[in-house]
Amino acid sequence: VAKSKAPTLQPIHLPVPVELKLANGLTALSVERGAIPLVTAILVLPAGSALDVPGKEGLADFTAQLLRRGTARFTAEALEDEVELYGGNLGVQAAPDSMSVSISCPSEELGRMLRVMGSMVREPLFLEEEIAHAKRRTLGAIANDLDDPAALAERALNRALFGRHPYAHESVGRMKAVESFTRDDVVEFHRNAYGPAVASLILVGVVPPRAKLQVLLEEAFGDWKGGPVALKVFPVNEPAAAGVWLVNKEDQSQSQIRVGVQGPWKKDPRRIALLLLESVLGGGFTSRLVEEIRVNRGLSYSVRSEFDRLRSGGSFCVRTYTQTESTRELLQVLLGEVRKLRERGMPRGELEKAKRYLSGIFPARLESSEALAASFADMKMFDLPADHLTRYREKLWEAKLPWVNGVAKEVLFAEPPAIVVVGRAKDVLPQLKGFGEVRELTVAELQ
Amino acid sequence: MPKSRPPALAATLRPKEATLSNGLRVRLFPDTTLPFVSLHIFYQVGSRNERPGITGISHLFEHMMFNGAKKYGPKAFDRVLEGCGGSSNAYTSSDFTSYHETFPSEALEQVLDLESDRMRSLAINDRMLRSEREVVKEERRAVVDNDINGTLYEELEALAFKVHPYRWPIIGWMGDLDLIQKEDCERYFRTYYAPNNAVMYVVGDVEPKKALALIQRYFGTIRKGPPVPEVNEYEPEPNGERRVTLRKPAQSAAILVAHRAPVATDPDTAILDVIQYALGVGDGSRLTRSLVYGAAVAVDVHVDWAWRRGPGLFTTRVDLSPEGEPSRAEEVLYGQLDDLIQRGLTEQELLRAKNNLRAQLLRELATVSRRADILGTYEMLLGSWQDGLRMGDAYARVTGEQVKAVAAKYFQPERRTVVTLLPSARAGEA
Repeated sequence: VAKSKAPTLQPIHLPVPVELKLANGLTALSVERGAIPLVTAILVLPAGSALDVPGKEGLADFTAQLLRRGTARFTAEALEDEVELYGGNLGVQAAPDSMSVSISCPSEELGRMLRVMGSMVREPLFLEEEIAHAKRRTLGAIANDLDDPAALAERALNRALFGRHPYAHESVGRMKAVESFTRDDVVEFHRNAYGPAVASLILVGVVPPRAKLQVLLEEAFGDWKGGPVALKVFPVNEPAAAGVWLVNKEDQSQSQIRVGVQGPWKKDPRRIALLLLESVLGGGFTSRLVEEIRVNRGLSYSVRSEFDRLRSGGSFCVRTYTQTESTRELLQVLLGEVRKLRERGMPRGELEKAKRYLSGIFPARLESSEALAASFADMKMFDLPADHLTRYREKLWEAKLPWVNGVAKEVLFAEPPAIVVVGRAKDVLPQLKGFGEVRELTVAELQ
Repeated sequence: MPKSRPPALAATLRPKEATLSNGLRVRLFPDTTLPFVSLHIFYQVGSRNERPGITGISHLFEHMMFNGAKKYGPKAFDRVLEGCGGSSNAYTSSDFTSYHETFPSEALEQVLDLESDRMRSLAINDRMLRSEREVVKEERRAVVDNDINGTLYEELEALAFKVHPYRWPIIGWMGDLDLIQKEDCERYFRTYYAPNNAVMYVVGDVEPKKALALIQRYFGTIRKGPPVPEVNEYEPEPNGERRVTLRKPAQSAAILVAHRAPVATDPDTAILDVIQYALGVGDGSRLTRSLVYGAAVAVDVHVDWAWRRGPGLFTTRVDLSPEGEPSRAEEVLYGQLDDLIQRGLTEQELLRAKNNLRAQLLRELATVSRRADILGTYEMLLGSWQDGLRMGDAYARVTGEQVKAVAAKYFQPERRTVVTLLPSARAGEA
């Protein structure tokens, strides 16, 4: 009969990236991986929604989405054809700290795809007609989010945690701001935020040899000029608004619940402890929150705890939902479990189990080209140390119990959290006594 | 597109296959790139095997598979698995149920012990069943009752099928979930969770001979079950358009239009895949161009040709913008379908769809876990994993004439079911 034992930490042989640099400052990492003749390319820029100024919330994402809608070289339709006729798959995304253009394609079509990517970031046209389309589409997307209780909860949480900081709005933006966007806004944003000196290109998969790649990169990005030379950072310097935020949605039979505080930033030296705490509290199927809320009490299908570590700050949040009638019980159990871990810490056995779990699942997390490329993009974007991935498992094993339990005291709701509930207000409100001041928000206030 | 697969990929698709004497089918695909393994067990049971009154039992049962067996009692399965660095999950479809674990190579024997324990001797306890039923009800509230799209799709299937079990939701009707008893679960287990109704895919860092010997040791002595009752696949041919209109508090309207289509093993499947791609995938697709950009009534379009063992549906969902009129969206959609019947696709559109579908076949093989999942899914829906890989050649052979003929065959008004969502109130308008 098999005995449960710790993984032997077989080395996982992460491929060593080849680094190339163009004269204009663009950095590229090329990572050879796998047997499938496909390549994933991600171009990442610090041009995310943290750069949106007040009144223009959503401009970073809006600009990013327009890149594919016509460039000096391709009309919108020709661009889609150029990608898809050759088996490619194009995505554009804006996150708080970055924007990315990603393409997955058959390896022999890489040169073609890089030329498309180059044209998108270097010479987008931002035609008036396309701006009108994009506005309508973005406003429609925000409207649809307002019908989604989970999306509403995220919107309310971001506002409660980050107040006047750009992290308070979702990348897609706010309706009023989107309505105000002009072509000049977009052109200016692009001019100020896009440029080769702050960009990184990551290639993962069956990639071309170095010399050939250098030629492809020169062709696609060689004459990319201008843009920023340094990063803009806006520190989070106001505290979160603790207490209860109640969003009324009459037609719900379930409450969406978020409980969160501001948390550590991207390069916080406590990273390993944070990952272990996140896992023990609300990761996997055997975490404390899942055990108490789902397994023992049947209160919810899903509960998880996450640190979101960003460039200018971060958050720690528990996300879950339950039927309207159980809102109070769930909140009590949730806060009780977090308090228990913060005040009493975890025993050694639980820490060791979390280490085995996290180190065991680590190689699978980096298996797909997309995931590996995203990890390298993150390392480039945030200038993380070279051993960020390669020594991750050793660092897990080195984590000492008193250290992890000490970090728990600092980060697990050490100050009163913001509690967001989206649901049927008249039935939820009486259940919220004792959790702090209750402020009501309407759906319209979250648009 | 590459003319032939490079040798390295071909090698990852050369399995060791076996059938144990109790009927359990085993497919081992070694791949030593990374030191871990993905193990998926597919049981040929889904909501199609249910009956009215206990709808949702397949899915509820999937949850119960994690709640204790003879050797590993309640809560033990995930504790032991996560303790050795593995993770697990499962899902239920209308046609099959899949359980999967990804774990470091050295935990293979441990995982086989866990999986064989629950296949051999699941122990359903009343307290766990009561609690799990509440968990599933919360899941239902989240994905159907409080989710507009979830509600729309449930209405669609209930209307599109009169007789076939596809008319009820996989998660089950709320009223049925309370009725499912321990005895129903036990009967379900005895009938459908026998080795002869299962296929195991093991993909990753394994030595096939050794792995097969271990599988034989852990699973070989599980008793074969009775033959599984056949599902009645009968569904009358539709003889007229069916419609339902829902009014719910919403910012925008939406329409969901499904046309009755064939079973997955029908040769038309590859052609419908091509049509689905050309109509709905990417900003350059026909329906995105016509509904989102041209007529400017929609925010997004989703076209879905879902393969099933039984009668299928070809479904289009149009998410309208707040000012978009559902009737206008329908008009544009039907205009596009008629155009497809009359004129088919351009050479360019056809080529784009084919090349992408073939690239997609490769993408689905890219990780050990996706490979195990997709190959097993092919076997569940098409009959064998090889049939799935042959789809690449089937796409290559699709002609413009076939596209026109298949469009004419399925996109007829009498084969159509339409669900319309109309906002009963918008935020701020009350």
